[in-house]
Amino acid sequence: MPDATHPYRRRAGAARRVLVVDDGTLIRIYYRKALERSGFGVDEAVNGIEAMEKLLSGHFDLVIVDINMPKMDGLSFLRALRAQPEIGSLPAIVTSTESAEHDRDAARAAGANFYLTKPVSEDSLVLHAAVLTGASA
Amino acid sequence: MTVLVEMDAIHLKGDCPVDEAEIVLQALLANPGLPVDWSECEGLHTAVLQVLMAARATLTGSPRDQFLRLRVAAALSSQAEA
Amino acid sequence: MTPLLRQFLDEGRGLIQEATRHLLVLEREGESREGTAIVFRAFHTLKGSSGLFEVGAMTRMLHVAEDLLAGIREGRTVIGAGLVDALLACLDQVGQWLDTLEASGELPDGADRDADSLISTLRSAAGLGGPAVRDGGSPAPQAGAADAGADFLAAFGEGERREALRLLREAGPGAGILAIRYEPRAGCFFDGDDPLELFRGLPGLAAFRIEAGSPWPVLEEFDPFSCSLVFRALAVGQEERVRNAFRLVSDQVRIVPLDLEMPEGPAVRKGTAVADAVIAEQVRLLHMPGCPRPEVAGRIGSAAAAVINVLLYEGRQDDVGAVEMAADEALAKADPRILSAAILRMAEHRRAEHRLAEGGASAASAPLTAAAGQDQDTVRTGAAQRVLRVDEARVDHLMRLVGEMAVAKNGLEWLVRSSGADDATVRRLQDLHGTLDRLTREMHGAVLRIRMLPLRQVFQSFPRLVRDLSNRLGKPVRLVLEGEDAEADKAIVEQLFEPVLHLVRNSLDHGVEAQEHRRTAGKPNEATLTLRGFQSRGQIIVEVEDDGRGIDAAAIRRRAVERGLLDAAAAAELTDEDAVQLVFAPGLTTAEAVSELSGRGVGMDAVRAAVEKTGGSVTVRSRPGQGTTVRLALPLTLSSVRILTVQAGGRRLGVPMDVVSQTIRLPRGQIRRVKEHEVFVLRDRVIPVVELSRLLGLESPVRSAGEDARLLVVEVDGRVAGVEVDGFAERLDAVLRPMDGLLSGIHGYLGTTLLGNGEVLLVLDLKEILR
Repeated sequence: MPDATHPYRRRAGAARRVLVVDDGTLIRIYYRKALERSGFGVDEAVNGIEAMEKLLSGHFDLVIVDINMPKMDGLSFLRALRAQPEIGSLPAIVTSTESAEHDRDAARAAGANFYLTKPVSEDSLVLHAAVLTGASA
Repeated sequence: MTVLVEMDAIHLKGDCPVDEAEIVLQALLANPGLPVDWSECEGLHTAVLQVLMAARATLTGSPRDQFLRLRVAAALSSQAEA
Repeated sequence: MTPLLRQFLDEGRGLIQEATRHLLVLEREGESREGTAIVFRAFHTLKGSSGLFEVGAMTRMLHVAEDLLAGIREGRTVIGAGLVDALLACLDQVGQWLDTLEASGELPDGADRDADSLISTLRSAAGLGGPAVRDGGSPAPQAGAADAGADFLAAFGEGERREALRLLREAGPGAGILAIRYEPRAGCFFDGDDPLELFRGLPGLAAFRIEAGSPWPVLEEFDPFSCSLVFRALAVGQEERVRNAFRLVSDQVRIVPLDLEMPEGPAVRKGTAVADAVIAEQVRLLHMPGCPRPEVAGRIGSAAAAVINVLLYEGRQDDVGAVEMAADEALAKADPRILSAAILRMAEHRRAEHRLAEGGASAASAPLTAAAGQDQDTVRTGAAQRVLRVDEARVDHLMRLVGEMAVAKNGLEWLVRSSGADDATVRRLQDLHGTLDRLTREMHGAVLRIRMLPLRQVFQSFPRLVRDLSNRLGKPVRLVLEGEDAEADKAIVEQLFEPVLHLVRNSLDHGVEAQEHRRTAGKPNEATLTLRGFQSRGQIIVEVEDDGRGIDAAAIRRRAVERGLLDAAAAAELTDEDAVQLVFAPGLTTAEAVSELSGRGVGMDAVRAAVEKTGGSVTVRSRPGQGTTVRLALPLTLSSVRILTVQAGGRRLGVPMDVVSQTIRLPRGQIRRVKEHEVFVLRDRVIPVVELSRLLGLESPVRSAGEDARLLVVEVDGRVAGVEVDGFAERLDAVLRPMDGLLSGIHGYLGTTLLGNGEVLLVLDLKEILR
């Protein structure tokens, strides 16, 4: 029970850090550029296992994770994340090329806080990241 | 010589003309998962770019060439299959 | 209706007004660089935004108008009355189309024909030849081009479009936004093509995308020399230059001019839309069934974090605490719904505030929004002023509820007095009643103020109208508007237009002299017509003043006698001031000629009727040889009164409900005589009975003993009375007109109201009657 740490309470003043989890290199580059241009700190992971390692070893405000990845896919990763006592409350955006409603439902069932359909425009990415991390408007 | 395969990455240097598409493709096939460092790339023929896209290559570094850095990198975002 | 269309309609109407106003200024004051630029800009933006919708005819026509304006700006074409007329006609047409678009979502059937006809009007007014040849010799834009452009546009995000607009603003004249789709032939590399290089050399590149034309094969089977890419781009510049850059591959490329014009506002609102969506998503997430136990805390925590971050993003720190508390409780009980309920409550609150803020950002034509000023300039300068857009019916509903509350409150007072409770309790209840009474009255006032609109709403139509009238009559007129910010109830403001229009027509037609007469009278050639608005003693005053010939009191007297309105002696006794008021009498006109504009004798009595219907009055002041001022005085609010209609002495009368605490039917046997008074007992209180017909000096009917008495229990100044009537009829909300004219000397009445069937209902002032 995370009563003392209040994981959903932001630490004031900390820079917003986003972990981008996607097996597509170009996508990661694109997300990184876009987010960095808007002042976010960005780290990357190519699959769920790497992502979990990074999340456990550093502070992040948001994770953006693709639904389809080798090794640990996005949804399995998300369920594992939500079950973590320390970092389970991290807001997560799930991305996928499918806009099908069942993907969206699957993401929600796995505990996603938002769902974006690829391709994600730079504006949309930055805006959603800003809203979900509480970056000042 | 503008395509160099080294231990850490496949390096694209200077201008990469159309005939190097085949070389880059072979390098990627021979070294699956090896990232492509394009920080010293100054020109990229469409054919070479297409190989990088098809291989879903991991691009590292930031090219000095403004067009590649600002336009091409961002333009690839719409490559939905990544 | 999509928000985008809503915005287009609102902004479109604003732009039409802006363009109209400045066209009139241009015509009056001659060409000015600045004025031309503003008009050009308005047409340009109209045309550009229209490209986002399937309104090919509108876009096409505006395109031609814009070209002409560009010509004026560059000194190729001279602006004259003919061209101003044509441009105004264009704006009228666009206005009509916007209405149709709003009603039906599309342009009317004949739109293309109308566009063609206006295009040729525009061209001939500008002294240009045939209908379809553009200045540059390039073909006229296709009706469907803009629609195709919108398709192209869909591929690009908001940020990319904005970048294109930014470049467009920086670009010189003649630049446009071009959407490019380039799908190179598979064998293009062997032709020596390098598509990427074409874009490298392209000036004004605003957005650029590279996509796979088909899914990639496995790498082993990939042919590196077969091109399967698709390039999309937005470029800003001269169409010819862009086409030139792709001339060698013109068979593989499509270039569509977009005329994309998007307001800068949406970015802010988009953030709000994202925030809305994120909040809604958290509620759905929390309601998602079947969450494995170990994930519950993470789910609750992440939803809380997401919502809190939205609040921080929006700077709503105040709401964070409530969400945190709910999240703590939800975590403790492992129940996500506790949090979702709190989020919904917070969202409600947040939405209400956003609605407030949003109104201020959009210059809308929706009636209540106009409180911020319909005028674009006012909206811009008054950005801090927050305006709420609400459905009028909701305000009316609120008003009715306040009315019902007042009635309930009256009932409470009665109950307190008759409850038989101890003094201390009664005092406390009375205090409470006093508070309720004050709050009810304040609420009433507050609701009335919601409905206030500035007179600008009415005045803004007149520059255009006066211009047209003045042209038609050949009388040059300068229009002066004063006090456009004065406010009155929406219903009053809206009802002002017709009467004011009548008065303006009358002034121009009859008041203002023909030019030669003005010259002989030593007056300036150009007449001055003033529309003036202000508040005075709880009324909204609108004056229409001209500097024309005034009204000939002698002629009015003569005419009134001829018409049999009064005899010669009575007419002679009237002062000039009183005599001129006779213009409001039905069927009296003084103009010697029957003019096309006002017709014979129509107008002034219609004005009076319209004004009196809303409880107002109209007076005229004439200064012979110097001008006429007609003054409309209307109530600030159409404060409707809840009225019970009753029968008494064979008449129908109105009684305001606010003094009536109840209506009862009583067996006549229960009315007793005590000394000379009739009384009855109601909840242990002895209450005197008075007969309404007798109070009013009317004949009272003979009552049979078996018939129930019908009583209004009325409380005035702490005294309770039973007022007997012959029957109760319906309850209604009525707008009271003060007792004036013939009735002004009669006491005992609050005023009159017009019933739906045209009958006039007298409304009693029971307080005065019973006192």
